[in-house]
Amino acid sequence: MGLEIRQEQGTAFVDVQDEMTIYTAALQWEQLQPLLAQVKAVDMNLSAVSEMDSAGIQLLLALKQASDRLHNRFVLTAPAPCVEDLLQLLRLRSVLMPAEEAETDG
Amino acid sequence: MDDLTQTFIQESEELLTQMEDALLALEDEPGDEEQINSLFRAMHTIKGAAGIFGFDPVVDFTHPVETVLDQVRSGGRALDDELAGLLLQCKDHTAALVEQITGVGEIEATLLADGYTLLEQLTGQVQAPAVAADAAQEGVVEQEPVGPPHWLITLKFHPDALRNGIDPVSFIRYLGNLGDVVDLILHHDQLPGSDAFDPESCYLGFDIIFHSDASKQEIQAVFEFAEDDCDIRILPPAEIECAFEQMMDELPDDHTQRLGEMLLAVGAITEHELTGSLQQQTEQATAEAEAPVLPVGHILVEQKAVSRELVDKALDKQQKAKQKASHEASLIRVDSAKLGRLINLVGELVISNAAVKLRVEEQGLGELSELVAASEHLVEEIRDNALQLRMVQIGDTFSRFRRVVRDVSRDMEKEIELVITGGDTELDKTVVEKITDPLTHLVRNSLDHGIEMPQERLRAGKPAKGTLSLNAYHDSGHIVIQIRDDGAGLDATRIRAKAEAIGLVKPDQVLTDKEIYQLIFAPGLSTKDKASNLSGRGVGMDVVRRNIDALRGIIDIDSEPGTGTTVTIHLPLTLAIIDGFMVSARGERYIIPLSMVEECVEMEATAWQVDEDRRYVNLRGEVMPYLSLAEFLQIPHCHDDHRRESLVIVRIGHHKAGFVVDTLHGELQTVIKPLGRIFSGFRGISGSTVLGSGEVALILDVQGLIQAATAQMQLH
Amino acid sequence: MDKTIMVVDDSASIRQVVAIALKGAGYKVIEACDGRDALAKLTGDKIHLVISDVNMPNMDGITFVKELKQNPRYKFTPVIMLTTEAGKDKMAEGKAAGAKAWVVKPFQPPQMLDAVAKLIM
Repeated sequence: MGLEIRQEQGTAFVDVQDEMTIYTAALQWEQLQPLLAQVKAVDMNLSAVSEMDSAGIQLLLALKQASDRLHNRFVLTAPAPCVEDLLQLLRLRSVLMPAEEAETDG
Repeated sequence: MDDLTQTFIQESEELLTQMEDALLALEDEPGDEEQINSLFRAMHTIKGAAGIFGFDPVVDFTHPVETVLDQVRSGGRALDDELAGLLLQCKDHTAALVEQITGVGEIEATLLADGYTLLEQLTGQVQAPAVAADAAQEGVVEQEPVGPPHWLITLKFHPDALRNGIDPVSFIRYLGNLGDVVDLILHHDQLPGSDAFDPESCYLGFDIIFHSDASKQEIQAVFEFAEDDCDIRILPPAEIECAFEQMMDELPDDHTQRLGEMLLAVGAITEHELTGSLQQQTEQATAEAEAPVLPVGHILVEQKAVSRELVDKALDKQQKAKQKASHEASLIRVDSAKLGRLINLVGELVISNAAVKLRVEEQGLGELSELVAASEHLVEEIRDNALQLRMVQIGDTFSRFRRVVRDVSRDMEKEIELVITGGDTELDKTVVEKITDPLTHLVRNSLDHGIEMPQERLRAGKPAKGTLSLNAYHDSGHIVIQIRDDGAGLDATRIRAKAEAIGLVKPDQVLTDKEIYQLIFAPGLSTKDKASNLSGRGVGMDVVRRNIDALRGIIDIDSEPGTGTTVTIHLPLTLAIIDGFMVSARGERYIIPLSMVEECVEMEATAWQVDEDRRYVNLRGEVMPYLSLAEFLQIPHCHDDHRRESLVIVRIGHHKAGFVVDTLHGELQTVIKPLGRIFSGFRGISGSTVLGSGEVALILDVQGLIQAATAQMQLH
Repeated sequence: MDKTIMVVDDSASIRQVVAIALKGAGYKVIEACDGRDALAKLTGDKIHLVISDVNMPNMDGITFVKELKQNPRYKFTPVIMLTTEAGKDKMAEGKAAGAKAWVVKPFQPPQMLDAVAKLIM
C-alpha cells in the first residue's frame, strides 16, 4: 500500500498503490514534496488508484504547480477509472495531462 | 388547481378591478394619464401572463383591447363615453374568460362569439380569427424559452472544508441529478507555493455553467450541507435574466415591496441570500455607524447574487411604484380595536393631566406650572395624532355609490351622473362606519324619487341627464356632507297633508315650506307607502335622522320645487375627544363643544334687546333664540344666584342660539364618555366627561338645545 | 468501489430501513446500536460516512461524533445526524462536535439517500 517511488536518470517514477483522498493526502505530500527538488521529472502512474476525491485532485494540482515552478516535467500516466472520471468531471485533462490530450486531439 | 394558476387568477382579478376603478375615475377626470396608463397596464399584463400560461383565448381577446388602449394612451383615440362603456364590457368579458379557462380549461363558443362582437365594436373591424392567431403567436414567440435555462454557480470553498468531511466533487456530481453540468472552471490559483501548501486545506473554487429546469431553491438545496464551508452564489446569466426581466415587468406596479422581496418574488434570489444580505447590511451599519448604509441591492451585486441590470430594473420599478402610490406604500394595517384602546388611554391621560394641572394651581406650585403646561401641550398633540390615526377619507365611502348610481339608472332607465367632490375630506373611521347606511338611504332616495325620468326632465326644460352630487368639507370642527340632486324637489303640500293626518301639525298652524320639509324626519311621517318604495328596505327618514342624532350630528333638508333637493349633514369629526368650552349654571358645570361656540357676550338686557317673553335676543342686528341652561335643565336654585350672566352664542350650520349661563370657565380638553342608560332620555345632554378634579361634567347636546330654543321662540 | 457507511441508531427498525435503502443504492453498511457499539466497530477499515442518531443509550450521538473526530483514521469522515424537529438546539452541539449534515426524523429513505449522495457521491 502507499506509494512506490523509484528514481531513474533524474526522473521519479511514482506508482500510487492507494487511494488519493483527504485521508492520504498529507502523507503522500510528505513523501512527494521533497522529491521534487531532487529530480528533473515526475512520472506518476495512477492505474492503481483505488479512490480519489477533491483532496487527491488538489494534491495533483499542487504537485503540478510546484513542478512547473521548478521547470520539472510532471506526467500522469494510465489513470484508473476513478481518476479518469474526476479529470473529466472537473475539466482537468488539459491541465494535468496536456501531452495525452494533444495526442488524442491529433 | 396549482398555485401558479391561482396566482394568475388573483393577479387578473386585481388588475381588472384596477381597470374598472380607472374607467370610473376617468369619467370624473377625463384624460388623467395615470388612469389611462393603469387601463393599458391591466390589459398588457393580463395578456403577458396569459401567454406564459398558454391561455390563448385570453391572449387573443386582450391583445386587440391592449392595442386600442395604446392608441388612447398615445392620444390617437379619444376615450369617450361609448368607448368607456365598451371597455367596461371588455373588463367583464376578460374576467369571464379567465374564469372559464382556469376552471373548465376551455371557452364556450357563445362566450368566444361575444368576444368577437365586442372586439368588432371596439376596433370597428371584423375580427378574423387570423388576427387573433397572430396575437397568440406573438405571445408564444415572446415567451418561449430555448431549452432549459443556464445557471451560473460559483463555489468558493473554505480552507477547512475537506477536513470537515466536505468533498466539493461530491456536490458537483450530485448536481448532475438536477441537470447538466455544461461547463466548469476549477480555480486553483489560490494554491500556495509548495512550502505553504497544506494538503488537508482546501484552496479550490468552481464556476459551473449548469443547464437545468430546477428552481433556484432546488439548486441551492444541493449545497445545503456545504453552506458553512463554502461561499455559494447561484446566478441566472443572460438568457434566464431576460426571463426574469419579463417577469418583473409583469408584476403589478403597486407591488411596492422592498427590493429584496421583489427579487425574491421573481425568483432571482432565494430567501437565504436575502436574509444574508440583510444581515450583512445590519452588520455594516453597526460596524460603520458613520458611513452610509449600503442598500440591499448594492450588497447583492457585490456578492454577485444578481446582476447590476437586474437590480437597477428592480429599483426603477420600485421607484415608480412608490411615486404612484407613495401613501399606500407606507401603510400598515392596524386592528381598529387597538386604535380604540389607544384613544381610550389617551383620553385617560388627558383627564389625569388635567388633574395634575388643577392640583398644581390649587397648591400654587408656580415653578411646576410651566412643566405642566408643556406636558399639557404634548398630551394635546398626542391626542390629535392618536385621533388622526383613525381618520379616513370619505372618498371611499362616496365611491361605493358609483356602482349604485350606474345600476339604478340602468334599472330605472334614468340618466344620472354622479359628481363627487371633497372625497379627501377626513373623518373618524367610527363615524364613517355609521354614516354609510344613512348615506345609502339618502342616495337611493334621490335616485328613486328625486331625479325624474329623462322625458319628464326635458319637458321641464332641464337636461335629460340628472345629476347627483356628493360633497364633503370641513366646517369648524365638523364634517359637512351634502347629497344634492337636481330633481323635482319635495312636495310641500303632500308632506303637510300627511303631517296633519297624523296630528303632527295643526291645520291652522303657519309653516314655511322649509319648516314643512323638516317634518319628513319626524317619526311616522316618512309614510309607509313612501318608505316601502323608497329603497325597498322599509327604512324611513326618521331612521336616518336617528342615526345622525346618535352621531351627535344634525341633518337638514332644503328643496326647491322643480330644481332639486339638498340634504346636508353636519357631523363631529370624532366621537372620542373634543376641545370643550366649560361653563356653569347655578354651580353645575357643563361642556359645550368648542367648535360650536361662536362667541360669548355679557347678558345685557338693553344692549341685546332681550325679549324675555318671546325668548330672543337681537345681537347686533341678528335675531336668535336663547334659553337659560339652568331653567331648561331644571337645576335647583342655590344661594349665590344671579349676579351677572353671560350669553354663549352657539352655531351649527346656519342655526344659531344663545345659552344663558352664570360663569365662563374657558377651554379644556374633553374626553367624551357615553352616557349611562339613566341619562339616555335626558334632553339637552349628549355625554359626560371627567374633570381634573374628578368631578363629572355633562356635555351639552347643542343641536337639541338649539332646537328647543327655536321651538320656545316660536311657541311664544 | 463500494463505499462504506456506518449507521448508528438504537432503533433496530430505523437501522434496518436505512440499511436496506443504502444497500439498495450500492453502499456497504456497518450497523451499530449506540455510540459505544459504534466506537467498538471502528476497526481501522475505511468508513466513508457515518449516519448517527443523537439520543441513544450508553453513548449518545454527540459524544460518539466527538470521539470519532478524535480518531486520526476517521477525523475526516463526514457525519449525518438524525434529529427531530424538537431537537434543533442539538444541531449546534452536533455541528461543534463535527457533524456536517442533518436529516430530520421522520424521513423517507429517498431523503436519506439524497443526503448521502450530496456528501459522498
